[in-house]
Amino acid sequence: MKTMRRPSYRGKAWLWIGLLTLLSACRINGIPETPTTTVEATLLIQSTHCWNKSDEPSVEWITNSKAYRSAYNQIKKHILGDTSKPPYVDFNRLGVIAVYMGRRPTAGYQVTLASRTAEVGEHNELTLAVSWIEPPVDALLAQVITSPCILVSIPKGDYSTIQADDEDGRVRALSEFMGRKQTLN
Amino acid sequence: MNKCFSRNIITSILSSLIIVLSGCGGGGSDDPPPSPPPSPPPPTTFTVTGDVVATGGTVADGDVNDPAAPFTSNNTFSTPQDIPNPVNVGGYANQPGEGEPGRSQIAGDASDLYRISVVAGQRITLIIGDSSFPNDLDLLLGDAEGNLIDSSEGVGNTETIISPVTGTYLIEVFAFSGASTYVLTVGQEVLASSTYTLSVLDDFVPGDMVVRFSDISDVKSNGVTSLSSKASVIGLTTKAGALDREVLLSLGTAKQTSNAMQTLNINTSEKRQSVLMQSANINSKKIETIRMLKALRQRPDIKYAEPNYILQSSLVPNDNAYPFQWHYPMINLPQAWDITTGSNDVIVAVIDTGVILSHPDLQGKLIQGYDFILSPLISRDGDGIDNNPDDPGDLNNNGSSTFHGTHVAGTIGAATHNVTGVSGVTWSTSIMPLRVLGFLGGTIYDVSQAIRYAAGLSNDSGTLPAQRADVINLSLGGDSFSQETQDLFIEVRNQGVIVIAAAGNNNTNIPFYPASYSGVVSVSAVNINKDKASYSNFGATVDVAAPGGDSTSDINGDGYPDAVLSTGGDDTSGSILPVFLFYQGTSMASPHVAGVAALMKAVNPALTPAIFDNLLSGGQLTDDLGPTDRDDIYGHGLIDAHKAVAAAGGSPVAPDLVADPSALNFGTIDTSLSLTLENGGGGILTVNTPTDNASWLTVTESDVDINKNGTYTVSVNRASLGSGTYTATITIASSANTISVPVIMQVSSTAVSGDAGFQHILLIDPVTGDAIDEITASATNGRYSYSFTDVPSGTYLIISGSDSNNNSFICDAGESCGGYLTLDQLLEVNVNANESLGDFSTGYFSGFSALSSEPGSITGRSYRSLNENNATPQLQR
Repeated sequence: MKTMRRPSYRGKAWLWIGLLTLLSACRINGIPETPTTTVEATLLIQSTHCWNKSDEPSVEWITNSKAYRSAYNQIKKHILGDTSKPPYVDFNRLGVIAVYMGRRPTAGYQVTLASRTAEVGEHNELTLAVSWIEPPVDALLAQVITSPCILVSIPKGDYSTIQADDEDGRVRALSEFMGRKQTLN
Repeated sequence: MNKCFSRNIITSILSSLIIVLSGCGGGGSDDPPPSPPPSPPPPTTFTVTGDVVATGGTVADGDVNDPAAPFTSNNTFSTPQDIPNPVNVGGYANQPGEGEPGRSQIAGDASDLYRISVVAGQRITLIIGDSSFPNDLDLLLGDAEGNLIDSSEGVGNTETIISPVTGTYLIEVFAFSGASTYVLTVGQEVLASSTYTLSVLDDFVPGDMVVRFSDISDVKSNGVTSLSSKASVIGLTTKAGALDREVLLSLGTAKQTSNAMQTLNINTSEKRQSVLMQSANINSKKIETIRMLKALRQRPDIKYAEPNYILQSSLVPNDNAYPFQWHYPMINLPQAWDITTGSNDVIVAVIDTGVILSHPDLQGKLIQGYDFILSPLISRDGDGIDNNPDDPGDLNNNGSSTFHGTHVAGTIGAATHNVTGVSGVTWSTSIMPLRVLGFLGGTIYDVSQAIRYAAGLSNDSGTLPAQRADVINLSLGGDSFSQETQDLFIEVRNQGVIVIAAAGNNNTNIPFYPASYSGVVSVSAVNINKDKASYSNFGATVDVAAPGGDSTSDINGDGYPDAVLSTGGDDTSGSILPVFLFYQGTSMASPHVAGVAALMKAVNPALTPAIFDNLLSGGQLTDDLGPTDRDDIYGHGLIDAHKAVAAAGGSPVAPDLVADPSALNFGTIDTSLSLTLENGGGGILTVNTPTDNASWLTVTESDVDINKNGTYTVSVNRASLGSGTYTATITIASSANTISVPVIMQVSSTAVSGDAGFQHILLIDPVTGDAIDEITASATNGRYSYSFTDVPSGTYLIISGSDSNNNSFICDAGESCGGYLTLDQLLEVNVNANESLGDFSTGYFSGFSALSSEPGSITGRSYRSLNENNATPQLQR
């Protein structure tokens, strides 16, 4: 009866080298890794008229109440005599993500929060799950300019990037770069 | 011997041999050959040089808050700063103790005075960088002797004055409170004027104020006593009115006025008066009234606060929100209302998302409608077609629905002249709400059924309206053509129904339907300046233009976007609350024309689609815009309600010669400009050959019709003229009237350079957005030279701007800004050698967004300089 040879010390070493190499190859080839954490995402406000001047989707990271109030006022600017106040956010613990769909030529567009959690990757890249709704190509549509957006609060953190992904995992909006200059002045 | 051991010995011997042999040199000598000198290391830092050029026509305020900037006081009558025309002036003003630390913070720089030559009708605009409370800048105009002529004293972000006659004036920018940067612009065109500003020179009852409270939830509903207590909170006395509508308040006696000023913490010291105001003989009660109104407009519990104007003009509705509806005076509706305000016998079908049937400002305006949406998924009301056109919202989440149909219906015929809410194009009309748009839009089949119902044709509802519609409005569409639908519109037209549709928002000339169907009137959109709205479609099928709005501007300075205001809904809370909304789009333009068609039907019930079309193509319903006669952008022109109802009634408006522009400014460079002479009324107008009173001026025909209506070229010849400002007048006679067009021109012996203020030129890390080096410079012949040394290899942005308010950020709103290669498309500079870059420009912008209540920047962002309150810059590696 043959007996199984136990792997020698050298053989075990080659086994570990091979495993480490495989794992490194995975990183190099970009195979997604499992996110390290999730954080709570709370919808604060959504609107179809956020008066975004750009046609392109964008993400902004708001870390203070002044910029938050500015973003809220911008959303409510089209309502005559509006004196409403934005939902309270404790900026000692939280920050606010603004996801803008960009200007659209008609009604029928909407962005909403698809999950109550957001994923934070190994390098502090945050991914917010959204529903990115666009009307069918052949629909008859109201000819009013819209600019949908949502404002979402998440725990404060030193995020390297923030992106909004739809249900298909497609990146719909991405922050340009992080840091002070990204906040609304 | 162990094989491994033998192998190891051999390896060692071989290694030793290799080491020994490598130490051996060439033949003949025992000394090793000299090694070549090591190459110098490649440089790791470089120099980046270039010039920033100030945009022509820019001037910097001589006394801004940046202590590093050059200083020349312009605060008094004797020291006004001379400025050219046209011009963009960038400046800063502050009350003592207000604003950032800097040159003027302690002592203040409340008044900036400029001297300028202008022609009659020129627009002088002050755009305020930061109009958030407590910052408030005013604009005043005085003659050369310092006598006050006009003022614009609102609390918004724009102030405007139109020069009355040709001459030399003093312009004063006055910081009534707080501090702010600003851009003062004097141009050429006379554009839409402010409707919500204040002026002490206006005709109003001194001491009276018309106020509407925005929040009365704190007052018990027990009549006069409650109103009095509400008014006493703000220190005023009640003269008339009620809490749920307009209230007439008064400053009262001198003592009551003093108490009121104290209650609202209004500073009444002499220093709060501008230089021009101090020398003017103005009723002190009027000055106090303006100060009180300014303070009231900044309170969150006040919805509106206006002087009690003394009116002498055309019929104007008393709806509270009418002052915000700039789009109605634009199409001469007040003049039209003198003739007719409509009729409830006229029916306009609004085929749309439905209407909020309970909206208070649509009560008494709606007749029975229908919901033609077949799919419950689209309708969101749980069923297919039914007789309930109430709009439940067109999207599935709170705060997202547009309530588009309610907005369109309100433009056509909101309850008007009922004190509250908005006005409609018609004061009397019957609106038939037909629901076809829901979640993600609508289908052609549903729309067709609604059209059939409105026209009194058989349809899927199995019913017909008691009276068919006279006008159908379709603020919807798509790209697909349907022959069946085209045939339907011919049938509808044969029924006598006038069909109006939005041209579409794709900024394209690709046909858009239903607007492009034969028999449908296609409406494009213009903004507050009567320019094509950026989104509006154009093309061969556009028939007419109407106000559609532009939310990116607040040119009239009323604090709201220059969009179209009408009835709407807000479902943020989960319930649908009736509100009033500013929307933009060809959706908003179309109901203006539909409403005018309804006014025409009220005057002439026999009006048919064919008559409407003939009047339209004959130019009797519009003011021509763009090229003479019909063009692809404006169609036959901007709808003119006055002309339209006059033409419908068989009494066309008399011919009226108008010039566009109404004044010509050649500045220092232009040699020829276009002048359009056209009929602003009805009928036929014959224009005589223009004459002028200057040898250096020539007027020639460029593109005119048989009656000499059209475009002329006006040319100037500066040769043999000395330096200075020259004015002249072009006189044009016609078969109707004679008008004059003033002309102004400047001759300069040297090239006029711009001055964009003291520049902080930043070398920026494009990843972090932080400045890593800074060069400061004043203008030399309009140029600012820079040379960044010891720049590590890498990529960088180069941004240049002023810091007038000295807050350590450049490119704030009201400050000059420029970037390499252009501000719109910044180009990263890849530095791995010495770089000598091409010029890029810096200047002041008169078009920056003033919509945010927070200070914003021209490009959406400011840049922190390294000169933090003028600390020494440090190169950071």
